[in-house]
Amino acid sequence: MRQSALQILVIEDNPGDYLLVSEYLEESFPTAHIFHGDTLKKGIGFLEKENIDVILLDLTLPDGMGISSFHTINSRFPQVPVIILTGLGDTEVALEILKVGAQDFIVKDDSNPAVLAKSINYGIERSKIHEHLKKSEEQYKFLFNNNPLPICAYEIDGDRILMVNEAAIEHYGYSEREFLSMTIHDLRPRREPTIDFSPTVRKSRNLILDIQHQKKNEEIIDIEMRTHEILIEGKRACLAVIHDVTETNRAKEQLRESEQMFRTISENFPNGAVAILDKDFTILYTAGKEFHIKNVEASYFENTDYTSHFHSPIKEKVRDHLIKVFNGENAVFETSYEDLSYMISAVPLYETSGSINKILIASQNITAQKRNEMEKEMLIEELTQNNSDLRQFSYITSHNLRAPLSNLLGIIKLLDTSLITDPMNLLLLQNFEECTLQLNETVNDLLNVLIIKNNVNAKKEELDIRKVFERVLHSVQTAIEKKQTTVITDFDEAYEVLFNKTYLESILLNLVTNAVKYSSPDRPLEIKVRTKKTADEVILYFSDNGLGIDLHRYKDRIFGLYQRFHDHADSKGLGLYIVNSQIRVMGGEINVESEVDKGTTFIITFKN
Amino acid sequence: MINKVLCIDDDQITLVLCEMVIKKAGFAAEVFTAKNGREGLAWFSAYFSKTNKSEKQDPPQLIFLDLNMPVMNGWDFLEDYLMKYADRLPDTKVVIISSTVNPEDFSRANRYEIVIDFINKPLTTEGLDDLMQHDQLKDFF
Repeated sequence: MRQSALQILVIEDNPGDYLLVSEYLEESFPTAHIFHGDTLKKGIGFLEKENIDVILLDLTLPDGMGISSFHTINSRFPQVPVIILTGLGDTEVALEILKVGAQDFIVKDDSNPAVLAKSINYGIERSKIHEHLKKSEEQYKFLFNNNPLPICAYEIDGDRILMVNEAAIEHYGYSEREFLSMTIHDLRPRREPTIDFSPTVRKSRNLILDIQHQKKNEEIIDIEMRTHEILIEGKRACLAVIHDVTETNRAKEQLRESEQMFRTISENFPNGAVAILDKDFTILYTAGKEFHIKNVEASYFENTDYTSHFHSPIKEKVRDHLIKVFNGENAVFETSYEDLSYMISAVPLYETSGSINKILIASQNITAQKRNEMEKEMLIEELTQNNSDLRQFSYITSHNLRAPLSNLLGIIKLLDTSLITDPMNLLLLQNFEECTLQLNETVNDLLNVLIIKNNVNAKKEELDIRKVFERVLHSVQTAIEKKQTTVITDFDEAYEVLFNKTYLESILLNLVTNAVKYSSPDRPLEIKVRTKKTADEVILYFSDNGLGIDLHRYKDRIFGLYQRFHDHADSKGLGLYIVNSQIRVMGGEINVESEVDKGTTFIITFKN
Repeated sequence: MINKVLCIDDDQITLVLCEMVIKKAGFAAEVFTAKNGREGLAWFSAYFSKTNKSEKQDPPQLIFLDLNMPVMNGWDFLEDYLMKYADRLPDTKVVIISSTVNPEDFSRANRYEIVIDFINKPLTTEGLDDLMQHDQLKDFF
């Protein structure tokens, strides 16, 4: 027990009584140090200086009487046990003092060394135990109140809450008062019926419950509540330590969901597979629809070397690509496995440290596309060849057609009809000439079509519509005058277009001659031409007041080859076809609006 | 007027017409013809093999060349002519006369410095009038 000698303080003013007490003490505690103060003040002096183990206090001192002496000492040195020395007449006061904390009392006249020794020993022991209890209670309170986890205690009988700590108050939002008026079940979500712990659960009070609670602000939280049984003021109670796991649960749920999603994505990776490889190209994970289709378990490939599934020289190629990916590059390459073609995309998977220990590979089965592509390429090649053959063929036939035709034309040019006197022969010759010229015109028209079609790269230049139109009008002046034509132009908004010069002349000439050809016999011809400018286009409106075209019937055919809508000697059904071809080859567009016997408007859009 | 013109064409009628038109337009004093590229080359080969000056005819100052011909076409003639004879006859130029519609022929003709014009058949007096205005020929007229 004690290491050093017992130190006993006797506060006693009566020398006779002190002598008696000190004799008893020396007898019972021969090694003890005995300090003697004959006043309260002197006694306190020793208490301040010495490490006193027990005090024997007389109640009648010159500077202190009865219970107040005890208070004076006990308030300053509560840890030192006090034994009251009293006379026969003072036992009631002594009993009073026992209630407020003295360890024992001894009636001086009625004592002996054994009684005194027993009282001192018990006093010291009791005081120690008391001190210990007080300390542990304080520690317990400290732990309870300062615990970061919400803690409450509730009665087992009735579940009424008896105690809560600061963390509980802060976490739930209820004040301590509110808590103490509630049962533990009042913390459950209000929308749920109270679930009482079943009798079997009740038997064991040391539980871990995963339940939900509701805060004062109605927020519902997931909690893990650990309870164990304690006694509070003699009543059976449960101490409940509450751990809010809402965030943890949410995070777990999110993790679970994202894992689920990842699995769904990878297992259903369409038309291919995904794989994760480590530095040795070992497949750590792989999944994808490709395996379902081929009826192979994805796991069959796991823990195998990715490159081992390819044969040389593809194997080396794949390996080179993968090495690049481990060096931080992305790789996209085509490869084949068995008789299938795959497009492989591989990306590095960076660790937070920045190093690459794994890579992700996505393979797409492109066998079908490859086959399509090949078929398409073959088809294109074939078509290109055919097209080229046809073009050559058309050049040759055109040439062969034109060669004799040009001879005919040459002969006609050289023929001097003035020398022919027979009128019949002259007429035949004139008809011969006309036929030849007509044939020449048709052949030239057709050749024009052919040349436009093959001349996508016809030179474009900045053209002034005003000048081109002027030239065109001039070239058909006679025809226009014959019809007493009024020409109204408005090129104020725009007159510059990027176009091929020959084509623009041809287009305008076609439109003008069409207007003349298909003018109404009932009224003089009126041609109106105007332009409009938009952000990146110039639009030309070419209107006449002629016969018009029945668009309901002819709309689809108006720009077609050899389409004629009027019974007209000059009409070959080629003009608008050529116009349309020339405009489209230049990236423009032509539209038509028309009303029978009112007139026609052509709308040409030039892209700039 | 040009002194001498060579017409190379496989079409007999074309050759006759050419000659007539050339004469009518007063374009050249003399016209001689060849039926294809090989015949054309043969004329130049013979010309350069003769050493006796008195036997030598004058070379043509202009060649009217057709493109589509059997045996040897216009392009092959042109290649051979350029390789073998053109250097020795720096004043002789070529005008192509053809019924071709193949755009490649037009662009190809452009690549030869010796080809000064490309005329679409038929050859007419108007066509020759224009040709007489040509920078490289107008000194003859």
